[in-house]
Amino acid sequence: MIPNVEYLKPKNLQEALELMEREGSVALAGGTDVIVNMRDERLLPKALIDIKGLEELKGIKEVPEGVWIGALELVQDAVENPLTKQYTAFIEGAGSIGCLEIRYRATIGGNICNGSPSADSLPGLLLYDAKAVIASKEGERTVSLESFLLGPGKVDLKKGELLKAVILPKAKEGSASKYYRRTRVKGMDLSSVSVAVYAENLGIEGKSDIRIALGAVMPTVARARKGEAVLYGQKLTDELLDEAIDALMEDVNPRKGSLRATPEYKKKMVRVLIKKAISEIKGGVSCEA
Amino acid sequence: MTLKHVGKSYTRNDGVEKTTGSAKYVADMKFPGMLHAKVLRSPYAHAIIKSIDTTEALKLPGVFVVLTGKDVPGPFGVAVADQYPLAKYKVRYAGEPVAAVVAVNERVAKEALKHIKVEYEPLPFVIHPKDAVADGAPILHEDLMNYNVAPYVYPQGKNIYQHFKVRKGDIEEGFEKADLVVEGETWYPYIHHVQLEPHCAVAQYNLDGTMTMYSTTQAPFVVQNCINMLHDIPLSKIQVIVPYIGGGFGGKSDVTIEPLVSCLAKAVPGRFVRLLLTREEMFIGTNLGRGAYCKYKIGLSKEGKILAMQGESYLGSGGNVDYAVNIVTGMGLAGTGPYEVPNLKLDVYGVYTNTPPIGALRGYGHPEVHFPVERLLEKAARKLGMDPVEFRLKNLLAEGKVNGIGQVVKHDTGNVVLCAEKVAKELYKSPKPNKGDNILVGRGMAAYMKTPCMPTNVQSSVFLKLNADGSVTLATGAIEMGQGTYTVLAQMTAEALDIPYEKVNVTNTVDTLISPYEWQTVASHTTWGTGNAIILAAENLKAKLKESAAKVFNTDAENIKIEGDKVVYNDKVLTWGDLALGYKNPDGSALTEPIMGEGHFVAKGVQNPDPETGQGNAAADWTQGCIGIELGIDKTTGEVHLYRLINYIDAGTIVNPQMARDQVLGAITMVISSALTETLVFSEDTGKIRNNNLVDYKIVGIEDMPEEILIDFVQTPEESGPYGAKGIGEHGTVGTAPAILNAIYDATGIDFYELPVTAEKIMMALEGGE
Amino acid sequence: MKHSIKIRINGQWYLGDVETGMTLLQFIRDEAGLTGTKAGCENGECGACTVLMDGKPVRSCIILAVEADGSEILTVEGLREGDKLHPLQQSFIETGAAQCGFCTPGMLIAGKALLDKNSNPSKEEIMEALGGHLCRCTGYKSISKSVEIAIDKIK
Repeated sequence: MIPNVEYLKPKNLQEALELMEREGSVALAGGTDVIVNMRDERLLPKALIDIKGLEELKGIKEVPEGVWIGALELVQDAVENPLTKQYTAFIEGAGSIGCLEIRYRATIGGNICNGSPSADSLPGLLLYDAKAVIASKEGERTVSLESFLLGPGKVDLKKGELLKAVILPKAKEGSASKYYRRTRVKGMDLSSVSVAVYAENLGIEGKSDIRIALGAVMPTVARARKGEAVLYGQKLTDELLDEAIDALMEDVNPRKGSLRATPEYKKKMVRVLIKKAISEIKGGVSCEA
Repeated sequence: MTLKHVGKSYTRNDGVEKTTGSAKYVADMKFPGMLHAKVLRSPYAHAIIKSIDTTEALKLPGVFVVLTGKDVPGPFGVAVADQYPLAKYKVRYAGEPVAAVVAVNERVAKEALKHIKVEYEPLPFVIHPKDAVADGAPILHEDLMNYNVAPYVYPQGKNIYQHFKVRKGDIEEGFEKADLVVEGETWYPYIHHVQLEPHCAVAQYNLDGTMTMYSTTQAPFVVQNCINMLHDIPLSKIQVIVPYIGGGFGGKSDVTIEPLVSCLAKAVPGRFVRLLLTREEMFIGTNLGRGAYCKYKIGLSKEGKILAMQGESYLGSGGNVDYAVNIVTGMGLAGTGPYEVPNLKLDVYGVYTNTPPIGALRGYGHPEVHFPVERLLEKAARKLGMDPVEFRLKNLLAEGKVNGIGQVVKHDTGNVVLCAEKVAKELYKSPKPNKGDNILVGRGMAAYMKTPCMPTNVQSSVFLKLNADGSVTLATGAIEMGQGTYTVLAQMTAEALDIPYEKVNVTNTVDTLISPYEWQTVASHTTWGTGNAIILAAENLKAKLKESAAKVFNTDAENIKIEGDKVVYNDKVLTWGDLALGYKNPDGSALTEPIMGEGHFVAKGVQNPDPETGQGNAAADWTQGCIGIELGIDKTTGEVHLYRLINYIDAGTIVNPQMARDQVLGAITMVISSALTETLVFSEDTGKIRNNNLVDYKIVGIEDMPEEILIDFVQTPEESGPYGAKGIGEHGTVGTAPAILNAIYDATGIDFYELPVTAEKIMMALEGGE
Repeated sequence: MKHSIKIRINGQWYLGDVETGMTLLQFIRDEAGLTGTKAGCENGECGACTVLMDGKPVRSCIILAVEADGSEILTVEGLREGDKLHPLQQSFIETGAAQCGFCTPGMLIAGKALLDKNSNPSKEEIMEALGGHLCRCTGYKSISKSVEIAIDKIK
């Protein structure tokens, strides 16, 4: 049973931002998390601000910095859009959210703002240093998407703000990425653990850039920078990769008591899936590794 | 005998209704002035209720009544009278109903729950049956020894409400002679049925003393009986109506929410009251399944013959037991699996636990014990260095052998040997496939047998109403919950009357006031029991046709022949329709009566087993089979991929092969799910079920299914069954878990004895082994 | 606060004054009286409540009725054309894919969405379309087979 709260549907962004300034306003996009959370009474807004009509938050387009994805873009539309094709880990991750019906309703912005540590769209976005564009009555601010994620269910949105878009910098020529996750069943399930790996000049000394983002093993989806630092510019060997994974494990601290997997298994899978992704990329990337 | 309709894959007679949205279920129905109920459930697994204050809740506008334990009758129970519609004095599981509100709508009722104040004194609780029988375990029912119990129930005190014994041969001598003894313990966890349709009941009580209830129950006549006991309303005034139900699997058998709803209706005479459970409530407020801990020891000769078997099993049964007594029985009757065991000692204990009640779940009593038997026999074959197939064939209950309860296997008991041979031939027809460096491929099999665990004198009745157009309406008390009962019954009716299948229609609603009596739609006994009643009813109908025609033609009934839809006497012909409503003389006066066939079947010769030895003709029939699995395990992640599933089952004559195949597959699928992913997780702090929703309790989906599936039949006609048929709905559940675990062993060399075997557990074990 | 809305379901407009908390599923079942669409979990997990909303399959239990104001909905009742069953309905009947019938409406709508988008989907695409739909009766094989048969029927 969904609580009866105030429901308002602003016609344009300005109106929406004004409504978001009110105490207890919650933005409603696809609702695949908001409605579910309200049903459980985990979320009790004073008012739902239905932002689905806001054209300003829609569309996928090329911008000088890369690709601009409106926060209201439906997950499935983002997955199928030709402009996102270059971001393999992103489309593989976003393409594994829920099931088809959920992806036809859920939005990219919603998946981000729900702030889930296991959100499947996020690892792929973080790999490419995506930016978050945040709108308020005062104007817009742009922050790195990684810094936008503050903790489980928490993102850097202040009262009166809405996530307007994410910007994915252009993927470098010859770069590649991959997303793997583990779930309990093969169908609809939340990720027990997820790994996204990006590689550019894979293993070429002085040029190699390998990025790793992890889901469901930390309070937020995050980049594994300690591991990336070990690999950066180095010739890739099995030993070095293990060393890098050892290094990134310092930050991997899955919570206990998860119903999906134990911390021990999650940690093992981080190692396995990183290696699997790199080996997959090795097969497909244009490099001399 | 050539069969015209039995054995054909007719399409289901409810197909159009169910694909167009017109099939009606209880929650689809609205009644004038219908009120809505919500239930306040205990947050504690075990606690004393110190006080309940409903004052504030009653003040809310729209609230009609708030009931608590002091307002309801009880105790009641089919086997053990140990429960109340709302908890009295103490709660015994998290989720147990403590109070209930009836209000103008669900929203008000839900709001009112927040205004009920309950003071609890939490007590230590116990979830695992092994812990429940340990010294110092918290006692759930202090007064158990004084409870009213059915004659076949033997409470032992502490938390043990039932002890089922099987004794055969000389167990000590058997083990003395053994060259090899294998031992092990298995745990089949608590799981849920996850029927797609949530439980719902709507009831109305009138001051003239009648009660009407629409419910999602598999057991309308049991519900009727329960309401009779609780409220002292005559059975003739209790109308329990059941339309289609959206999956039962045992979880809607006996009674679940109905006793409570009957009390709520009684509190607001004249008004309909509806209780519709949420998905979350289904996990904590209805029956669960399994929860079986088994400790088995098997002694064998070096030639591979089973010489002795000793089993000690404990069924965690919940805070009240109800149907669990029958599960205990099943674990005893089938405790050897389909193998000959000359010296046998089985002790099955039914044990109270602070979990929701454990009830029937597809196959109940059988998967629980096949698990240790088939796992340990696999281990024994390995230790003896024998081929697991050859080893099984040596010990299977072939014709002439004696099963664990002393029944001699007759020809029509079924051919489990042939099933096993066929599965083995198919499973091992070619070398294991190569699925790449990371995949370990394994194969395993398990043989199985199952009997319907039901009352010794289980009854089925049907009416066959002959209509004026010659069509026939079959009235039955059996429930259609997905298994295709009405199609199979229509096929048997067409066969018995020798009329076209299309001429038979089956009532798709059961109503205890007018439907003929049927024990309940449980235990895979409907095709067998109701089918037998249909044959009797058809004979009755045909006899009445002949009697009527004899009057018309002024001759003796024996001179009348029935040819298709005609009734013939020499060259004189009448149609069935001419006689259906009675024959009229040319002057308009009636000559004969309207025609309805009646058939009443009761199982005969089935006995309660001997309380000391479990021996006796306690199983009406057995269905046997064998399952084989080929799977691959990703050694980097532990993930299981199912490649091939092969199953041969001897369920006697198959009435509808396509539907029978899907019954077997559906049952197997449920256990693929419980073997690999399902388990209810209880909070260590509170005893509450943590994964009471479909986000956290995962069942398998389409992508988890085996790539290749072969399900086929060996058809040895069952003498006691209609056209040689017997049950098939549940049997796919029985051997599946051990077959999968045997295959996992074959792939990895790791023996698992607890379910579910998740990717994580496999991975951790693989790492541990390295 | 009530909202005056109208939703076109199976070609017919339905008007209602609804509270925010009413879901699209509740509107379809209780206001429009179309009970073919089922409530299995009301949490978006089981798929029984799937309907087409402006041509796309969605979970009606986690959409508010007010959000669906002005939209075009197709439910299982709207699948047949006159007295003629949709090829998916025919194939579900032929294979016995509707057992208890509770997941069936959602499965049919998911199948319809797939075939509308792609008249010749691959096995993987069928799996993807049905991957979020739970069925506890069939073991799924008859359901995927039904979709395959319907594809042939449409061709």
